[in-house]
Amino acid sequence: MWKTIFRRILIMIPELIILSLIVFILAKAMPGDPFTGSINPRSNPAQIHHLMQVNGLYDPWYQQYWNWVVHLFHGDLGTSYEYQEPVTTLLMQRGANTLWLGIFIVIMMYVIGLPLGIYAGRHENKLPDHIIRAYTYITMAIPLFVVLVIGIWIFAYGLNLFPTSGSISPTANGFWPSVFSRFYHIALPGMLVALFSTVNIVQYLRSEVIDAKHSDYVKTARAKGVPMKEIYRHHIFRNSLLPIAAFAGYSITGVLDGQIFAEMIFSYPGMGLLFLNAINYRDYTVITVLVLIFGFLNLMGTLLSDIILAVVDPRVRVE
Amino acid sequence: MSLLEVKDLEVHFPIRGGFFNRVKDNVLAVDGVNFSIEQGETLGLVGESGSGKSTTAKAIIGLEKPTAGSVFLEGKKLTKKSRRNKAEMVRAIQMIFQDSLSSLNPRKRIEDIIAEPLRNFEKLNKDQEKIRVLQLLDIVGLGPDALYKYPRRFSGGQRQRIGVARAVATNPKLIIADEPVSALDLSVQAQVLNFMKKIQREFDISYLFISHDLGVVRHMANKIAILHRGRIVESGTRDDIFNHPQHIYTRRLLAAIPQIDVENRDKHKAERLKIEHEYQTEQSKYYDQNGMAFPLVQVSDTHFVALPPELAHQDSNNEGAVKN
Amino acid sequence: MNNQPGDKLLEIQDVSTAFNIDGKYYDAVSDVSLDLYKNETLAIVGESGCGKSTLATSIMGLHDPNETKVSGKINFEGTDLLSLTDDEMNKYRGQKIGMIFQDPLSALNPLKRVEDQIQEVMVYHTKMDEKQRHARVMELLNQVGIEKPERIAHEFPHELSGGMRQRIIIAIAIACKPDLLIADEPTTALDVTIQAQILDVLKDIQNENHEAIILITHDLGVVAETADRVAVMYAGQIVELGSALKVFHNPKHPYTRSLLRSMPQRNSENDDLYVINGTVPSLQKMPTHGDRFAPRIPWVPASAHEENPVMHELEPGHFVRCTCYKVFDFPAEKEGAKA
Ligand SMILES: Nc1ncnc2c1ncn2[C@@H]1O[C@H](COP(=O)(O)OP(=O)(O)O)[C@@H](O)[C@H]1O
Ligand SMILES: Nc1ncnc2c1ncn2[C@@H]1O[C@H](COP(=O)(O)OP(=O)(O)O)[C@@H](O)[C@H]1O
Ligand SMILES: [Mg+2]
Ligand SMILES: [Mg+2]
Repeated sequence: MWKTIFRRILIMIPELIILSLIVFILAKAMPGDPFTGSINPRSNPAQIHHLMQVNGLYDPWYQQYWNWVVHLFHGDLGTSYEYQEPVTTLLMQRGANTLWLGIFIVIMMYVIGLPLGIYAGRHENKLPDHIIRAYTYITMAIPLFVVLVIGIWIFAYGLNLFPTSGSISPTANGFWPSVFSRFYHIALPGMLVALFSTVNIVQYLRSEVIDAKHSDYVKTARAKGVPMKEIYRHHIFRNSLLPIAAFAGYSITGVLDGQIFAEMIFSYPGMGLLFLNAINYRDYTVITVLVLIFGFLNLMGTLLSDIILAVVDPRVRVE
Repeated sequence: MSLLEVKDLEVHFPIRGGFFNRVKDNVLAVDGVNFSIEQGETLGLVGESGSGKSTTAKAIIGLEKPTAGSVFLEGKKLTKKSRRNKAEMVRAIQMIFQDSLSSLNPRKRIEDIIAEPLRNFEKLNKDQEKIRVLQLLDIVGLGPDALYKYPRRFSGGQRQRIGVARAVATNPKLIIADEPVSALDLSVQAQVLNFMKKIQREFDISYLFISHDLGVVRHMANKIAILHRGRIVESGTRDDIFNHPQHIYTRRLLAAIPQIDVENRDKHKAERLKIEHEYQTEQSKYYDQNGMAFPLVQVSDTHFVALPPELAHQDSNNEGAVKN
Repeated sequence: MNNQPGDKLLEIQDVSTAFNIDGKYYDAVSDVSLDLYKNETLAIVGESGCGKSTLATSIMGLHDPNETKVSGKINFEGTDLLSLTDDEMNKYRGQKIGMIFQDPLSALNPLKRVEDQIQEVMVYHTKMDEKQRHARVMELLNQVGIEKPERIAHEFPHELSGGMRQRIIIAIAIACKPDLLIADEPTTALDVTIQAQILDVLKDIQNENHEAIILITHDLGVVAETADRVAVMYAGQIVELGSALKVFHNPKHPYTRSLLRSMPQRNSENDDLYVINGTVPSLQKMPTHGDRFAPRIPWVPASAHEENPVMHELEPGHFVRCTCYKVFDFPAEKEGAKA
């Protein structure tokens, strides 16, 4: 199994190179340059020309790409044109924020999704099942950003229950106060994204439970005289959770999508917000690094899923 | 000249593994199979699951690439890669599968399913085509109301008959039937087998009839080959195989067939256990050190057995005695 | 026939099982009555869809009560199984009645080791501790003819061959030495040589434990090789019941005779096989009265059938449904086969 994992990681390298190339070229191909809009309109073209030259923006693309890769390996991801800060520094702060929010969303997604999926599957076509399915259809039908806008409007601006922006209160000092403050900031956007992203987990788990319920091995267990309650515990849930466990890796990508909206609407200083701003300002260095990171996370998610599957499923475990 | 001749056919599937996913070993799915089928004749290919029956069939019609060996249809080599040759071959050899539901396109009506091979090979106008399809349905005992239905509307036996109708559409010379009745009930199986025999009589078609059921093969085939681990261990006429089996594997297979003879079942069981015991103790003698069957040795005009070298020698000395 | 039949173990009386299809209930099993004696093998034979599995699962009480109606009585050692609650029934399942299913791969949980799956049945029915259970697993694996029990016990189902898996299923079914073993097509998915071995294993176990076996199969050959008594089912009903010797040597019901006649093994190679007219009706189209087999032997005059066919005892222990057997004969030399 370790061999497989190692091989998978090796395969990721060319994938990442290709990804970075595409991203780099696309970023370059975008109209406009990073200086025209952001610099004082009165600054003369010669000055911009100078800036472009200093930053190597006139070099051929492969030269720029190569420079960028070399720097990358020195831990230097370049400097953001917009923030005038090293991208590494930016990422450190933003990355941590995003990680908090992301982890919170994933945990909540499973905390909400697992019991609902299991319950719906167990009580297939009964009232609870209908209610749970109605919930998933509703969450599917309403776009997430609408939910977020309404959510911030009611709970943050209207009822004043949650903050409307930021990731931590500047007055929070000490360990517990800062943990609490962080949680206070991510609770609303996190809950909203989680509540509206469970549809895959719920539906998938529900159909897994229903399939397992009618499977032959459950019939065997019944014929053994195992009470239905125990069959659910030892056979049905266990076997249906397996594909869901593997799903955890893939869900990273999905969570990132929702998170970008949440960060935008809640002005939460994470990588999503950073990304949106970078696109607005044509902040190439940031765009390339971020897309690369997102791509990397994506690949890691798939790998993680495969590893989880390999660990929990004996049929995959033997090669 | 035989209608079909299969020479030294080998199909090996690589087993990959290790760090660089290199070929580690091969599954010898088919490993040096020889047989021929005459016009209008049925060859039964028998063997337990995994013995290489389906792979042999697929290699003949080109669905599986042979590792080595060649297939001749009326003396012309089929394994050659010429386009025209291929089209001709596809027309001359048709196939019927075990699982008719998955081999018939579920989104096509029966009319289109049966007409498909016609459209590929014959230029008929709409009316001619319909008449032909109706004739084909009639041959397998289905009425015109079948035309516009979808495969899942039919029972297993009916679907299998549709498979037969499609296979005969292009007037093939050879039909390869891979477990055509294995999924069917007794009475439905009888129906399909009867139609297959009827078509054979009418159109002088040859069959390669693949089955794991020796009873069915006995009924359908006048020549039989027993396949084990990718090699033929014994081949001969129906009489050779059923009444004078020589290879231990054949004998074991025959002994395992349940008999409708309640009075003698204890005797039959004792006989079976005896042969099973013999198989367990003498198995190594009948296979080489890699567990593969030995090359076939001719023991009579029609009868070939994969005998170990020492027995083979003995047999060729008193060949006259064995012949009957 | 080599077993001495013992006392009556199971008494099935007028059992009907109906499935809910689109809001209406249709009988898949109709008024089946059967007795089963200790130490005997009763085969239930018939083509697919005739209700064999439904009857078996009715005995085991495995049907969803919301979708299925089971009526009649199933007396097992004096208790009517149909009157028990699911919890009470769990004391019988696995403990007094063991069951073997057709597909040995899907019948085992793919994520559990063989050992755990065998032990599970003991956990619920015995007071054995882990060590005793393990010892029993080894004993069972030996009994079903598995050579390296320690190794096999540690494997997952997908690592085993089909014949091996079926042996595991048998081990599970006999773990608590049940009085009744129901085997639903236990060898249908297996090669003939493996089939013979599995049937031998079942016989050996019976010789040791003296349990009664209900062997469900569509293969007349298997029946002839193993059964003491045979019940032939058609369209949810038993149409003929008798000792294996009687049913095979002196079959009476037209359906039994037709089945035997359509076997390729019995026919001379050059003849066409006998084909039974028409098809088995689906549940919804099942005739509610009259002889259900009548449409398939249209040449037999209606007057020969009973209005409501019942079982007639021809000789002690040999029963046939309907009186039409008296006049039934095969049509003279049917040329070809009709659809
Ligand atoms: N595409 C394939 N790749 C690898 N192995 C295969 C493939 N197809 C068949 N085999 C193997 O070849 C052997 C023969 O298979 P098959 O011809 O399907 O047997 P049969 O039809 O007699 O049951 C089996 O061991 C099977 O696992
Ligand atoms: N759960 C079910 N719901 C509806 N119909 C069913 C169900 N199970 C079986 N049947 C129908 O009942 C009939 C008998 O089925 P079954 O007992 O499985 O037959 P057998 O085991 O003899 O092949 C068939 O027509 C089948 O389609
Ligand atoms: Mg095959
Ligand atoms: Mg069944």
